[in-house]
Amino acid sequence: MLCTRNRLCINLILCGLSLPALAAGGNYWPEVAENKRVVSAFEENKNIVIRERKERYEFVKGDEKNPVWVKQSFTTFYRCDEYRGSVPVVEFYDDYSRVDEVKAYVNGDRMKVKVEHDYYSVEGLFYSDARVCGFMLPLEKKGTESRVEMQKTVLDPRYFTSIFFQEEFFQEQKEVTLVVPRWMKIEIREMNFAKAGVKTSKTYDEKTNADIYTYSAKGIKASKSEPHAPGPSYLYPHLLVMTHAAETPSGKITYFSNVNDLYAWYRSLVKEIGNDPATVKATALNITKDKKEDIDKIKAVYTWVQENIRYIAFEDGIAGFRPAKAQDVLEKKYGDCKGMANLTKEMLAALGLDARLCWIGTRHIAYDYSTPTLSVDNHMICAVNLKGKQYFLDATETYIGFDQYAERIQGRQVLIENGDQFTLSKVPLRTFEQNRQVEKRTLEIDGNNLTGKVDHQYTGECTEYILTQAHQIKKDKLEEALEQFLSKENRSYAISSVKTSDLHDWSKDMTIHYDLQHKDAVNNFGDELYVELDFRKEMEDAGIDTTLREHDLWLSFKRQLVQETALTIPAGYKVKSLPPAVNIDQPKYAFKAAYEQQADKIVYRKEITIKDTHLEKKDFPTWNNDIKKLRQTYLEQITLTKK
Amino acid sequence: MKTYIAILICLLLLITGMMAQERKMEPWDAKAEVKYKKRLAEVKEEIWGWKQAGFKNRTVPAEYAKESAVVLAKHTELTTPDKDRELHRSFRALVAINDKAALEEYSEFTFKQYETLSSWYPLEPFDKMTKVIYMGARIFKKDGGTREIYSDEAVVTEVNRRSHKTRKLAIPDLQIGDLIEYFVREEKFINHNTAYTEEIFVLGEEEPVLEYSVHVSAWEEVFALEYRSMNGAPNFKQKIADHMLQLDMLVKNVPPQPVSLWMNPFRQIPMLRVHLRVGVRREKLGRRKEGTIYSNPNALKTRDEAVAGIVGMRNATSSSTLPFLGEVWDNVKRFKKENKNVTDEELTHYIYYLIRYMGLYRVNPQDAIVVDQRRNWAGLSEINFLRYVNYMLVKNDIDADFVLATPRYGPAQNEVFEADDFRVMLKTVGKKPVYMSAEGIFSNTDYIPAEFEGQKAPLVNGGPKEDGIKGNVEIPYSDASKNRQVENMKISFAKDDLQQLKIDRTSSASGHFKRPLQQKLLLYEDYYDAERQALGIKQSFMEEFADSKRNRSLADEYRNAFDKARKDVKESFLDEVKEQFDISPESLDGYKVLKMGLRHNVPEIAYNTNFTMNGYIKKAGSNYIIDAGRLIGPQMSIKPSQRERKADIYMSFARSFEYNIEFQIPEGYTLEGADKLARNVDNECGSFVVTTKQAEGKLTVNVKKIYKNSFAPAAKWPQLLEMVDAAEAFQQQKILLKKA
Repeated sequence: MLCTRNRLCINLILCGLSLPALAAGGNYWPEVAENKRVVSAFEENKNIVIRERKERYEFVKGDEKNPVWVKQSFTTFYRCDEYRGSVPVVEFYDDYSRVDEVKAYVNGDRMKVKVEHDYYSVEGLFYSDARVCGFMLPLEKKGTESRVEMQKTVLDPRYFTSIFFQEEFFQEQKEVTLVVPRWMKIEIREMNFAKAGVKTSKTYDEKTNADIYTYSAKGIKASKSEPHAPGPSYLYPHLLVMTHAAETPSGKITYFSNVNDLYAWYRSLVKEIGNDPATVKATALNITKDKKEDIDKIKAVYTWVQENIRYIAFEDGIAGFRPAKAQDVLEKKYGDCKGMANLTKEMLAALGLDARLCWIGTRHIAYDYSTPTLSVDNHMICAVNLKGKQYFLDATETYIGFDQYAERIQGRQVLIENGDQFTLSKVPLRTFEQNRQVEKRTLEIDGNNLTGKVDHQYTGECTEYILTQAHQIKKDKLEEALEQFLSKENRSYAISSVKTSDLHDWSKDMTIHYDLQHKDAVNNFGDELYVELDFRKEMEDAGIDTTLREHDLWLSFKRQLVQETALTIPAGYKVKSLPPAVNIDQPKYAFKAAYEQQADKIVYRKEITIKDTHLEKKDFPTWNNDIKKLRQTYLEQITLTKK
Repeated sequence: MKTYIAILICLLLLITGMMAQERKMEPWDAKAEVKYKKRLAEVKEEIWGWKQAGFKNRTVPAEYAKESAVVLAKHTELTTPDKDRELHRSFRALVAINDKAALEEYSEFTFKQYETLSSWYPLEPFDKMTKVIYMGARIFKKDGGTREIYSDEAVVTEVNRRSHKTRKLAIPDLQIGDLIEYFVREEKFINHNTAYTEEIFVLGEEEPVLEYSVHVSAWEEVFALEYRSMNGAPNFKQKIADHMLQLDMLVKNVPPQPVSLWMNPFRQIPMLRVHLRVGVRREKLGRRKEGTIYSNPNALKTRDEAVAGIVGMRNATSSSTLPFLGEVWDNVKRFKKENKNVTDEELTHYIYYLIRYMGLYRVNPQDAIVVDQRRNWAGLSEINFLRYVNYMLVKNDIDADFVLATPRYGPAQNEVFEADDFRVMLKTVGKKPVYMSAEGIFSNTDYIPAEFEGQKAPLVNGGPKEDGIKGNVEIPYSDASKNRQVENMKISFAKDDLQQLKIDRTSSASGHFKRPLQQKLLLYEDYYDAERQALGIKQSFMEEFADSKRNRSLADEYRNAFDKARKDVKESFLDEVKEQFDISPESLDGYKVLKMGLRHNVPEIAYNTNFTMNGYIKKAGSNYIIDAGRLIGPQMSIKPSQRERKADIYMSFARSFEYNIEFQIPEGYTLEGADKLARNVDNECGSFVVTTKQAEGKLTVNVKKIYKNSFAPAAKWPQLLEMVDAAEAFQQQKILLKKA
């Protein structure tokens, strides 16, 4: 809520109330809607290019508090090729880094730079220690160049994890130099270099006793943001820098030479949390007072945390890595993933269960713990071991059931605490069967209308989507919004007597039942009736524009959609023609739809199954062709004729 | 992603200021924080100490159990603690959280802890130029437990030394079923003698309010109070006691505002407007007498203040308010010389378009190159533009008046409360007046913005010697035929795929429909050149630059930018087709602007698009079903909750839509069911009429949908509904293409 005067006020009423997403669409295929033409301001920007960018990273001795620093310098030459303009120059920093100096030159002349600094706020993040500084760099006219020189220092090499080659403009030439004194032990891993054309060299500078690594490349395309694309670590060439250790005058400092070191550091932070088991135990006992079996206790605690702890994302220095105290999260009823995982774990532990904290990188990240850096994970969950089985609990997924896993963590490697040791495991993979939405309709023809009853059933992430949307809607408007959602805001698809399962209980399948009158769905021409049975036509718009799409497309989650409609053939009529079946079964997906006459009924069954969410660019032509076939089935109708 | 971030950051940087890079609190901030905490402690004691009965309530009435949130009590106080013009505004509310949506809404607060009230002074907390906000919240749990949190515990999310410091407060332990009670206190100074507070208390919001109270208290030696109650809101109880001017209001059981569609809150919802202002010994324009409470003051007084403002504005002519005057005169003189018998009306149009051109179309070498759609949103200040036009009219002996209009969605003339309730137009004097307004880069003469239609407005003479009002004018409503969208579609079927439609579409839009399409589809290069030529300006800036040694390269650069804009405009046309049909075309094969509609004598924008569409033809055996009804695009749907209506209907303007769809029947097929398409709903509020004609292998469907008026009393709602429903239902209509 924004604290402004007359908060409610006139604008809201003037503009009309707009309901959240639930009211706006009929089906959950967000990647379909978002995969449309996306043209960003800088897309295919031929006007401004980077003629050359040089980056230098040098490990140097720091101060007492931070014995090793990474000094960075960036020199960028921008060139204007078509018409004058300006480019935003930005650099991020945080508690562990600082921007030391910025110089700019326009067409050879030094420009007085007034660098603006600000907190970096990101939607969805309540608070972050990230800061941003920057300024607008003019390009005087066509054919001229402007240059920026920037010096930055990372105060702790733990936080220096990667160097990406892409920029937001096309780069004609790029050179990255790393100066690594031999007292500094690091490992550099070249990622996505296969087709990047990066030339590498390594020399030794006797004077400084340092190894100098040089990477250069030409003609690097600008980075491009696309919805539902893999994370940058999959897409772009980059160097993954693993800082192992440093020999300093005051002794050896071990950073992350292997996953043991990484875990040891995480462990040291966890030890500092200061949980108060007694406070947490009282609540845990209260939540589980009616539960006898351990499995039921786990479910009860998990559901309670999901429902009662609000997710609020904090990134604040070391607190960005250390979970908040369980009792604080419990008291405040909000926390970030670490806070929620820690509370879940503490509650379960208080009940005598074997619960552990887990570090995990979601599918956005290309690495696993074979690369021990702080880039390897971005999330925390809880694991619980029971009767030889391991379950993972991610309470930030508010409406997902127990032992069901969101796509973003499925199959991902987890680092699980185990005292001073750790174990590595994987979150189980789930098939599309976890996430199903089934719609069954029994219909009759009544004049020009189809009437009957409809049942919906949702599971897994399908439930989570519906409930997330539903709970964003004010409850006085929920009924209407639900009707709008189910009818795709089409009043001719008239829904009544809607009954839903308990929207606060996602441990069971979510169900919706209602009566339907689909007006004017039957067309009578002469002796014939034409009937369109598929109202929803899911994914008819799911073609991928291959002229624009640059990256692979990752669908949100595996799922299966089933629709079954049984239509009673009216007395005095017989089937003249039924649409042909479509039966596409690819390794990553299947589209099936078929009409069949069974006695006095026509049964339409459709199945859309996403078996693998990763659509690679090479899959696009087949996918588009199959979507076209699916769309064609949507363009077919039943013909009934008088006997 | 990085690109988006970069853009975002840069936008951010443009509007935010310098801030220290270091995270630690700066000395000025740390010092202020000490004072802030001390004052916060006083404020919370004061506000939590209020005794309004509603704040003791802990029960949500059964009738509101289904509401997302229920406001059990809210109270606003506006007070002046001493005579040095300090102003405290306090708001406290007690809200029952009934669902997750309400929980989300009330679980985080963002506020500007300090905000400077003048761009001339840097932020200096607690000085007279800075507004300070304190806030606090407490939670009442079902089990009787409570929890408190205050603004000094909030995280800092922005510090801009020039202007503000922002904090964000997460409310702890808030759950569904809890009550949250919170306050927001603003403390500031009134720094100008003519300044006043602007308060609106609306008695009808999204959430029901069980007890709503207001208290205003101001030193009678220093201040004056005035208020207006509107649309059935009660008057304040007023008194002057203990040297204080006082207003009080207590209203119970304010129901939620039920209707959101086509409402006009300023004219329909009960509300009170209050000004607390610095008084003066003797009342005069723009000032109120100290120690006085003005209850529902005469609107004519406000009107006179607005008139005085206009007169002052009109007379403020100088080189700074009339830039490029020499060039304007040169062109006007040339125009008059070339058009010896020019009428006043023709000269009026010329002057208007010339100043529009000079202000918005012309390019100077030092300008940033902006020639894409962003340029189409450019505009000039209403006052500055119309003053300029008026000045030139007066100097050319053309009589014109300023029209002081109150927009339809603001208060009516007899309920104006401050001079800013008025907006301005210009109108020539005579039997056929030319109305002029400032509506941006495509603004034209003979156009009255929709928001001014139907309003009675005073006139102020444009001549420099007349100061009073000259009379009134009833601003006419525009007819539905003037605000018209026409779609002419020639539809044929692809030879190799009868399910693919080839559509040759010519569209036009006039009146109030015109500007959004101009902004979307027109290219600066085109309208710049068209206007330059129409104004008789011989040399284009491209030619000027090309002739200049200094700016020669600029011409080249503009050429590149023009080419890019022309290439990119295809996206706008694609988007326009998608908006109209609610589906993306398979391919857009051609697009062209036919008329730009830049002037009053070209009243419409017209354009042609050629594209192919899938999804409108269903196959049934060897026959085809055509979704003919869907070709008029998505139609308005009135939701169940909106179908019962007791409130009058305020729409933006009367309007009409026409679709002429011509199907070329493919060889070997016959067309059936066209007769079923016909509709004829025609009533006082609107009409929806469909006729068809079949001849020479073609079916022509003509659809006309008309909203006849911009306003209808609630009693006529069923008639409007009849028309809207008919159009919506038409979308389901189909015709059969039968194999012969």
